[in-house]
Amino acid sequence: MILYNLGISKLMRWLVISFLWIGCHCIAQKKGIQEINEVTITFNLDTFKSQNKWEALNANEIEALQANDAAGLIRKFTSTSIKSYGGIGGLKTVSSRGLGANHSKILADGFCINNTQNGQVNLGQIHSDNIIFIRSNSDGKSQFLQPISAQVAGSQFSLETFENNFGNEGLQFRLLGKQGSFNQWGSYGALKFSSEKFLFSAHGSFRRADGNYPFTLVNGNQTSEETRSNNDYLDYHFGLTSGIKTGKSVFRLGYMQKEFDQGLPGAVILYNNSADERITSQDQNLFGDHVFKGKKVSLRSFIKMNENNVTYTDPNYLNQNGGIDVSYRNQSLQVGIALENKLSENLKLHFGVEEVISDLLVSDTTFARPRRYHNYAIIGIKYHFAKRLNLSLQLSEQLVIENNSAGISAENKFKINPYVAISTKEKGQQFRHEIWYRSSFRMPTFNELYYNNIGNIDLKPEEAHQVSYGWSYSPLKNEKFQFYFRNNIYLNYVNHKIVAIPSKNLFTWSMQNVERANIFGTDFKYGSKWRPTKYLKLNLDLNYSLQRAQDISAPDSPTYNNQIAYIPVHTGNVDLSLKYKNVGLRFSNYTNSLRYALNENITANQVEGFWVSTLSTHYSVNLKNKNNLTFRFTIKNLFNSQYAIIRSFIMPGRNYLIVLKYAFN
Amino acid sequence: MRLIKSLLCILTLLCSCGKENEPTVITSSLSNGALVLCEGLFQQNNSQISFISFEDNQVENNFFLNRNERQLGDTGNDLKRYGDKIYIVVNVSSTIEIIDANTFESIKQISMITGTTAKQPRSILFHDGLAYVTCFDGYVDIIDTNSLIINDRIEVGSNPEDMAIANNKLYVTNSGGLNIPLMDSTVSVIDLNTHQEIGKIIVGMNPGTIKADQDGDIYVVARGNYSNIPARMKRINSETDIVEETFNFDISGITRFNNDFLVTYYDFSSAQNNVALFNTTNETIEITEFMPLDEIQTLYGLTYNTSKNKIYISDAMDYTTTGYIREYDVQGNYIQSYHVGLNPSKILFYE
Repeated sequence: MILYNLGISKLMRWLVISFLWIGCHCIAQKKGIQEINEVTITFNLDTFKSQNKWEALNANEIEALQANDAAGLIRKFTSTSIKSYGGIGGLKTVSSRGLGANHSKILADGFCINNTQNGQVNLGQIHSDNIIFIRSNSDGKSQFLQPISAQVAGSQFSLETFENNFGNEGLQFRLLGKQGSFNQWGSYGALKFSSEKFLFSAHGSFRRADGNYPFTLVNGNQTSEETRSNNDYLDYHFGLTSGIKTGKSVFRLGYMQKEFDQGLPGAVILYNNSADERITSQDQNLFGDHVFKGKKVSLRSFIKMNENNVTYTDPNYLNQNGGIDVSYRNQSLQVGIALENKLSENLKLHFGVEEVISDLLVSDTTFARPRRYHNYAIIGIKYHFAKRLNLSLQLSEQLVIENNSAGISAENKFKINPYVAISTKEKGQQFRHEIWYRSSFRMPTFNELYYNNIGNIDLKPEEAHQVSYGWSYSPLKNEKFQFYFRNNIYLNYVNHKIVAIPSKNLFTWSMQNVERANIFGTDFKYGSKWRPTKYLKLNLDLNYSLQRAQDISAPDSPTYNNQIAYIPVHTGNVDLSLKYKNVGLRFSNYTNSLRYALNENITANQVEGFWVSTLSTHYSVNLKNKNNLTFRFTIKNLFNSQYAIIRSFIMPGRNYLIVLKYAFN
Repeated sequence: MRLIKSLLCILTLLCSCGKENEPTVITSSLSNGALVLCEGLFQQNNSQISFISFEDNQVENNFFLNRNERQLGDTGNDLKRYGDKIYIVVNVSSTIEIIDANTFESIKQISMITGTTAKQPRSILFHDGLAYVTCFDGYVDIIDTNSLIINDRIEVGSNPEDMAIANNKLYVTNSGGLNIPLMDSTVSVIDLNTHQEIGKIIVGMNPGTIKADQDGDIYVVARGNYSNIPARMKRINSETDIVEETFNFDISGITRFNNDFLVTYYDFSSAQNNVALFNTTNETIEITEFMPLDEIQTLYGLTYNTSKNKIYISDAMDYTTTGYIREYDVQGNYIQSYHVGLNPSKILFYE
């Protein structure tokens, strides 16, 4: 499985990290003697209370949305744009505040999902049935117990799953089955037990679909009814987590495996329907952590090992081998520690270190054999002063050591990045303000550095500078009606943007740091809860984001000041839900304005804007002894809009989903 | 509620406003002009033809779409006229579009897909009422230009690219481009009477452009591997089918210029593309810097028009922004530019 052959210098670094780890834990244990807090591994799951501070969706909202995957949830957040190539399990990535997708870190249960080969996480492969909480941290706030690599990223999205969150609920059980259009079937089952001493969970899920869906192809003035083919999908997930609790500490150890087998429908090419590409992959994860929460000291140490095997085949590729059959093995090991120490009533110190080692093995022997040692460290303070202001200061360090055993390695990188934030904090206040600055960067991926003919080992990291001001208003609580309003204004600057450009001719593309971008953005979010009668609840959420992401690479370029490809200027969400006793109805709409397929903002490059709506109803019965049964019926793309997020990747029209869920406790 | 309504209104307004659309030009007279094939980009379905009118210097984009109510497809690679028909080879869509040379209306679309395999046609050449089409699946397809039916297929090497005819033989460059880094390095020789491959000539890695001169010599560019193996032009004697000469400059294209050639090459000392005049009679470069290329960002094609006696260079800019056709006189003086579509390459002139 995962075995790393570390050199001597690396061994030294490991020793240092180990000492730090032991040292920190000794301090924590010592200080912990006088402390009595009970520790649970849960985050604040009541979103409404804290919505004026951050963006999140709770379990009820997630269930009501009936998204196919995590992308369907994340698109509900302001200032995000999802790139989706369509279909169940199809490639979906998120970019936040106009920064590229590689600036976004995705966290599941406090562990990063890494892929150093292409630097992006496919949200289409993250199930949403087990997600009980999801939060966007693109507002600059970081949760100090999260991995350092996520805390220093340009933006983060963290999700919590049912099976890996432990309180003191005792025995819990979930069973879910679903059936939908395009012969889609899915199920999810989880058993969880958490007492004062032990925790244990087991879960499994599967999804499959024929996937082929009809669509209307518009070709000039002609339209035709076509079918998207080679879109079948199958995946299995299963995992086990167990742990113990001792006073102020919780230890967790878990294993998770995911298997995927899918056809790739590819782009819709006019007059050519052939599509035979396939991807099969296997993802194994072993993770563990220790969380200690004392009165003064909080500490988390964590480790995660991941192995990801992907095989790509294209039997119709016109080479002499009669097709492509190539496999990639990505491995990563992530280990770190994060600590917060309350030095006085008004001053907190936090500190963390993390090492991520990743490598790639490709069956095609002409590819490089890269390995990366990525070291992170962070130190910062939070100071509460003048009774109403919070000041956060933070410095992070990153050292990246590159090693390509099959050729020339890219240069090592060393960088220091600051983060400064001032926010207001007053008990019972209705207005909050926050202003912050963050600089961050994303490393070139293995593909960008080493991919045959395209890779460029001289690439510099892509830098992002973000300045943001946000305010929110949430008036005092009223039994019947509550609302909040939030607004952010930000200005981002991206330098050394990594793009693929043809070098000598159209055959020879190469990765270059040529572009610069300015992003001006603002977003508005309104959320309200109305309870006119005892049994009737009405929730309304609205958001709108404006992202003006402009190419400012060269004043004489035809794309100067043009909107960057695939970033919509306007995005919006409308979510209205109604609940009467145990019956519920939810209408949800997601809107993108027109985008450009290339950086040149001309008619020929326009990809039309769209509105997609989902209507979902549910009926829930509470049976005896904490047993609950819920039935849901969802119509997706209610108005059957024919749209594409990426040009030539047409999305499904109206489709249906039926879900039956049983829950105990 | 008022807030919601006004927000929705703003949203609707904002969604509908984009950049102002460019004015559409529809040309009525199709004389004294040129059709320009713009390749577009892979998976964008945006290959198109622009018509340049030399009368009023206007450009009509989407020429094919405007006359046939449908798009050309994905990645157009070749555009040629034979008789009263124009043939457009569309590579990723895998079609040959045949349009009437006078009305420009579609006569036939030949689908180049067999079973589940798209043959990916690359270029077309005519001889004696037959059209020869290189297909990336390793064949040259033969189309009867009267019946517009594929008569036959001749097996050649891997990923055939370009063709030339001399001495009643068809020379086909087998690029093997999809086997990168182990590409093909041969030229297939086909007897035009029997339609049989009679031999393969080794010319160097990744053969691309091939041209015949008036003396029956064949010139071919072996493009190398774009890194440590440089691109070289070779001369094949079509009597003996032997490579007789290698020219030591990093060449990318050959264009017929009266009886001679204009060749484009990459000059490592100045790190830029240049155009040289190659004399086919004494087989040497006569002028190394035939014309200044200050206006050109990316030289993507070069065409000489005999009747206008002018040189037209296709400028692909950065390959992701729309390109230009740059007009020069035969002394190499820049005259003017025409703004066309994405990645302009081949040009077909109309008197």
